[in-house]
Amino acid sequence: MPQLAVPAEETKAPMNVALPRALVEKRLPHEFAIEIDSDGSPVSVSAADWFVCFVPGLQRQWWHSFVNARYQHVFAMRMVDEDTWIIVEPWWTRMLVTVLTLDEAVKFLRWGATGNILQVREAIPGNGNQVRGWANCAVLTAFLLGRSYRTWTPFGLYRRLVKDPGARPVDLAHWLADHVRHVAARNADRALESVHLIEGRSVRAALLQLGTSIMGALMSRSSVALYKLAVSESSRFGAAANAYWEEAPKRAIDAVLEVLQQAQLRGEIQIDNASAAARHFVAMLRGDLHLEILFGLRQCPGATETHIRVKSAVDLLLYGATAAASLPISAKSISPASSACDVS
Amino acid sequence: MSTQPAVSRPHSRAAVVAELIRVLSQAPVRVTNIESAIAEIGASAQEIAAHFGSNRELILFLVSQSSDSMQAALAPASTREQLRQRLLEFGQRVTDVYSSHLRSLYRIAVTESIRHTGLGRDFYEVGPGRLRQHLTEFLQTAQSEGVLGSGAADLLASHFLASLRANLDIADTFLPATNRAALAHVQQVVDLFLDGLNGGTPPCRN
Repeated sequence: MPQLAVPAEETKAPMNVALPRALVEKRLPHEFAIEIDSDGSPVSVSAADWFVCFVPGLQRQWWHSFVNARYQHVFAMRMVDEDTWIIVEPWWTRMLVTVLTLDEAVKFLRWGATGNILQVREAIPGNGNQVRGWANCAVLTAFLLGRSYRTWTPFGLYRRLVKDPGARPVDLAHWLADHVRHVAARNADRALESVHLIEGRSVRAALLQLGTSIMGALMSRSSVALYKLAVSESSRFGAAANAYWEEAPKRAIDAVLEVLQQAQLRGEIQIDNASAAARHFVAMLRGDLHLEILFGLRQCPGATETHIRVKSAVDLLLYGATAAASLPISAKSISPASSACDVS
Repeated sequence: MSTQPAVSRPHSRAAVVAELIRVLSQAPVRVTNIESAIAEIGASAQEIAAHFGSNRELILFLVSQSSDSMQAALAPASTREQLRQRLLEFGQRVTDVYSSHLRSLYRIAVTESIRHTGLGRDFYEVGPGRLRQHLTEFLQTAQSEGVLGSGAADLLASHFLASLRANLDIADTFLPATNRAALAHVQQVVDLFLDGLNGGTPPCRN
């Protein structure tokens, strides 16, 4: 592994790691010495699980007639966190390594599902070897995983990996529904965690507080990616789209509905269809701004813009556009809005 | 959606548009790319290129045409009753177009935006963006006529359009099942927009 040179004064040797003396004394000047672990790495990393995707080719290539039709190519992906993926795909001309949002990752995973996806844990430090030779997609993916298999085709790699005790086939539709539900529920939990703070407040103050939280969640990168996924893939992965709907917009609507119902019980508002009003309010929070973010025209709003938009939606919901003079907001009626982008 | 491709025959520009709208209206959830819809009507790539230039231009034409047809209802209003009528008519057109082929076009545009083809930006500008701009101008005129309050017209337009789309966005859960339900939805949106939950009564400012 190549060694990184960092200034010596910024480093501090961990108590449990022995510095290889040869490295310090013979290869690098002392001021550039760096601590390494037993595998020769400056940072010890845990073995990650990869989704190894064995796929038919998307474009015709001369070698396809020599390989199994369902296993013409192989690439690997893994989650960096719940919203971010990394893909490593050997091309004929380069090695593609890039970071993807969930909605982008699903496009590759869908390709993977046309063949086979195996969840495989990488080996650290691994048993591969850089002098193995021919660097096709199968060899490079085996090397990525730290495997020493002597196989040169995607199907050969699949047959070896599928026998790996830790390898598991991935049912993409099932996995995606679970993942979307988990991420959407996490976003909703964060957005609604302060709901208890609005109890006892006037309906306007409660809607301002709740609206700010909901708008932050709706406009976050994570939520926009889930929304894109739900819209784009609803025909193929209906369970995932439904999971998004149930955990994100529906929970937001339910929280608003509760505020409206409590206000009605207190006699603050008279309302025939509270469910519809709650849906309209959440839709207004999304507004055209959501479309602009969705289609790449702009980034998520900052605190001031969020505040202005939420206040406008609340006043419209409560008093209508014919009354619509700009209504004052008590300094205490709403907590300081953070940037919507802060909510992941 | 029929699984049998249409019999291949020359398509006029108007026929391509009409048949695509029919196909997209019938399969609002399933269609996420324009190629499959074109294949469904049996039009050739050469016909699309000859009539529109490209598939991308075809999508933009369809959404632009939809936007123009929706905003045609926004004639100036000088009384509150006229304002309500204009908004009802506009809302009905938006709901009709969204619940037919525009939902499919929207899904196609979102899918293309994930692929970073640049279509999403143009789609917004000639479709939802242009529609919002026209509604904003309509509301500003109503404000200058004194039939609407003085809120920021662009935000009001955004709120109104979003409320109309509330039942049409991605989930089919709240799709109006009948024309009567769709009409009731539009009336509800217009009433809420004009009068709010408190019937247009602003709060005491003390």
